Amino acid sequence: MPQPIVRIENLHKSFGSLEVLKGVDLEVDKGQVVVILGPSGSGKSTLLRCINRLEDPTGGKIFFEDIEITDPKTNINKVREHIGMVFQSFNLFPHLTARGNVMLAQQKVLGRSKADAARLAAVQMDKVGLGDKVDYFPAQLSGGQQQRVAIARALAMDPHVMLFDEATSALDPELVRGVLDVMKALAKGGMTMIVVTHEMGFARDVADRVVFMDEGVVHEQGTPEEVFDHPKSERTKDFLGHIT
Amino acid sequence: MTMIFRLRARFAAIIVALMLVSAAVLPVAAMAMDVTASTTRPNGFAGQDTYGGKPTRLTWELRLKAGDPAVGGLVLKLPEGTNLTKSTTKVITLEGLKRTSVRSTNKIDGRTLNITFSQPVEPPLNIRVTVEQIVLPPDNGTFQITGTVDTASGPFAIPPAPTPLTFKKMTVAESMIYWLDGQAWVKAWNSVNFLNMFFKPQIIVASIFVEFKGWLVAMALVAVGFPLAIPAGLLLAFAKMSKIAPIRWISSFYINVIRGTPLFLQIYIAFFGLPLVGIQGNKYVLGIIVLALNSSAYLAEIFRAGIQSISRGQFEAASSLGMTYWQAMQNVIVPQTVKRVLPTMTSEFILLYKDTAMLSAVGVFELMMYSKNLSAITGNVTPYVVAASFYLMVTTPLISYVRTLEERLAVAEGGATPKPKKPSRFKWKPSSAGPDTTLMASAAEHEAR
Repeated sequence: MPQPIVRIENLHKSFGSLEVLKGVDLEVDKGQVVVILGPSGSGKSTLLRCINRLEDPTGGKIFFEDIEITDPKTNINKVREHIGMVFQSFNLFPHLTARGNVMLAQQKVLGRSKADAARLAAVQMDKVGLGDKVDYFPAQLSGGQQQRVAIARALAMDPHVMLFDEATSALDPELVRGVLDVMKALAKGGMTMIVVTHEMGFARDVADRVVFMDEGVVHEQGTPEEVFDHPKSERTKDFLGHIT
Repeated sequence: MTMIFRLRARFAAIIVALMLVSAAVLPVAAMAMDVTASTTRPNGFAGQDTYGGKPTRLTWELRLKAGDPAVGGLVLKLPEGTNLTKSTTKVITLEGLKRTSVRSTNKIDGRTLNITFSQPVEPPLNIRVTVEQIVLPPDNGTFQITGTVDTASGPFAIPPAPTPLTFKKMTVAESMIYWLDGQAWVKAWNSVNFLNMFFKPQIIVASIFVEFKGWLVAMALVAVGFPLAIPAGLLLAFAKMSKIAPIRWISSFYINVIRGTPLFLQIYIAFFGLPLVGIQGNKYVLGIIVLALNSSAYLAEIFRAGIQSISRGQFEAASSLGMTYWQAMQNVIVPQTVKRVLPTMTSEFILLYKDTAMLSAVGVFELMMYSKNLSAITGNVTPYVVAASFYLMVTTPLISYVRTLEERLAVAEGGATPKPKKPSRFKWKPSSAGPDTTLMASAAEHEAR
C-alpha cells in the first residue's frame, strides 16, 4: 500500500469575498505523476501554491509526509526544502548565472559547500540538457532554456515532490517541447510530480492520474483513459470538448 | 703679568674716551620723543597683511615734546631690500590736531629718506611721514625704522616704535592676483561692468584658493553623511514594510515628517533647538547628522520602491527553495534592488551634496559660506560664480553617470526602447530604464524637492 506523500483534506481558500477553493480533497502517492486540468480561474494554481504555502489556506488541512504544513507551528521553510516548484514565469534570479541560480539555495538553505553546490549544479544542468550554458545569465537564455534552468534549480535541492505551475504556458510553441521532454524524463525517473498544465498530450502520455477541477472543486479524477476517453462529468466533457 | 695689567689699563682708557665722545655727538635720551605711529597699509587681496614685493603705503609719526630743541630735519632708514624708486614722500607737521604749515625737501637715497625742513620746527609737535609706493622686501620679516633727528645740538637717534612693522611673502594666489592687476587685458575685461561683477579674473583666482577649503568641507560633509544615510534608509525601508504595525507607523511617521518639512527648518531645529536643551556639539558633526537623517528618509522611499519593484515571483521562487525572508532579501531581492536604485541613489547623492550649502546658514564653513564671505568682502558676485563651478565640478560628471547607469539598466532589464534624444523640458518623462512606476514617482517627487 503506497503511502501518500501529499494529502489534502477539505481545502478552502478565499481571496477576500472570492472563494477560489471550495473544499478540495486530494492524495498523491510517492512516485505518482498527477496532472491537474481545468479552465482558467478554476483554482488549480492556487491549490498548487497552497501545497508549499505560498498561499495560506483559509480552511482545511494539508499533510506533507505526515507533517501538517497548515499547522502554524510548522517551520514552512524546512518543508519547502523538500518541495520543488517550477513557475509559469520561470522566476530565475536575473543577477546570477544559470549556475549561480542552481547553487544559491543549495548553499544557503542546505549548507552545502561551494564546491559541492557547483558540482551538483553541473549535474542538474546536464540533466536538463544545458550543461554548456552554466555561465549564461538568464537574460541570455531563451524562455525554454530558462525554464529548464528553473527545473534544475528545484531538482538540485533533492525534492521529494515537484510542483509544476503551468510551466510551459509562457513559452513559444517551439520551446515547449524541450521543457516537456525534461518533465517526461523526470517522471520516468520516478519523481513525484503535481503538474498544472494545459498540455493534454503530456497529461495523456505521462500522468498516472488526471484531476479535473472547476470552480474550486475537483469534478473528476482517474487515469488519463478514464478522464479523457470516458469522462463522467458534464463539465469535464464540456471542457475537453472545447480544448480538442 | 705687568704687561697684561698695562694692556687692560689702556683698553679702559680708550673705552672711557669713546663714551665721552659719543655722549657729546649722540646725546641719547636727551630728547623726549617717541614714535606714535608706524604702520603699513594692508596690500593683500583681502585681510590685514602687508606683503613684500608689492607696493604699499608707510605711515610713520614722531612726537616731539615741549622743551626739546628745534628740529631741522630727519634721516630715516628702511630695511634692506626695500624699493623706493617709485616712492613719493609727504611730510606734515601737527600741533595737537592742528596742521602747521612747514615746507620740507624730501630726498630718497637708496633706502634712506632725507627730510630737510625749510626752517627748523619747534616742539611740541608731531611729524608725520607718509611714503607712497614703497615696496618692502619680497619675504617674511619685521623691521623698525631707524634714523636720527637733526637739531642744532646735533643728531639724536630715533627710538623704536612700540611694535615693529611686519611684512609677508606673497602667497601663490597673491602673486597671481598681483600679476593680473598689472595686465592690460584684465583692465579691459574689467572695464565691462558685467564681466567685472561676475567674472573678475582677480576674484576668480582668490575665490578658487579660498573656496577650495570650503569645497573640501562640503565634500567631507556629504562623503560622511551619505554612507551613514544608506544603512539608516535601508532600516527605515524594511521597517516600513514590516508586518508589525507600530514599527510600520514609526517609520512612516519619520519619513513623512522629514520629507514633509524643509531641510532648512530641520537644520534650524537641530542647531538652535538642541543647545537650548543642553545638547552641545561640534557643528560639523551636527551638520553631518542632520544631512544623514534627512537623506535617510528619501533613501528609505527609494529603497522601498526598489524592493517592491522586484517582481513577487522572485520572492516566491526564493521561498519555494526554502529560503527565509532575510535569506531571500539578502541574496535575491536586495542585490537586484541595488542595481535598480543606483541611478536614483546617485541623484539623491547629488541633492545631498548641493544641500550642504544650507549649513552655511548656521555657520558651518563650507563652500557656500566661504563664497558668501568673499562676496561680502569684495562686493562682487564672482565668488558665487566660482562656487557654482565647484558644485558643478562634482554634479556634472555624476549627472552623466546617472544617465549611463539608467541606460545600462534599461539594457539589462531587457525590452528597452531607446531613450528619446531630447527629453521634454516640461514634462518629466519616465525613462525606459524605470523598472517601476512607484520608483519613478519617488524620483520625480524628488526632483521637485
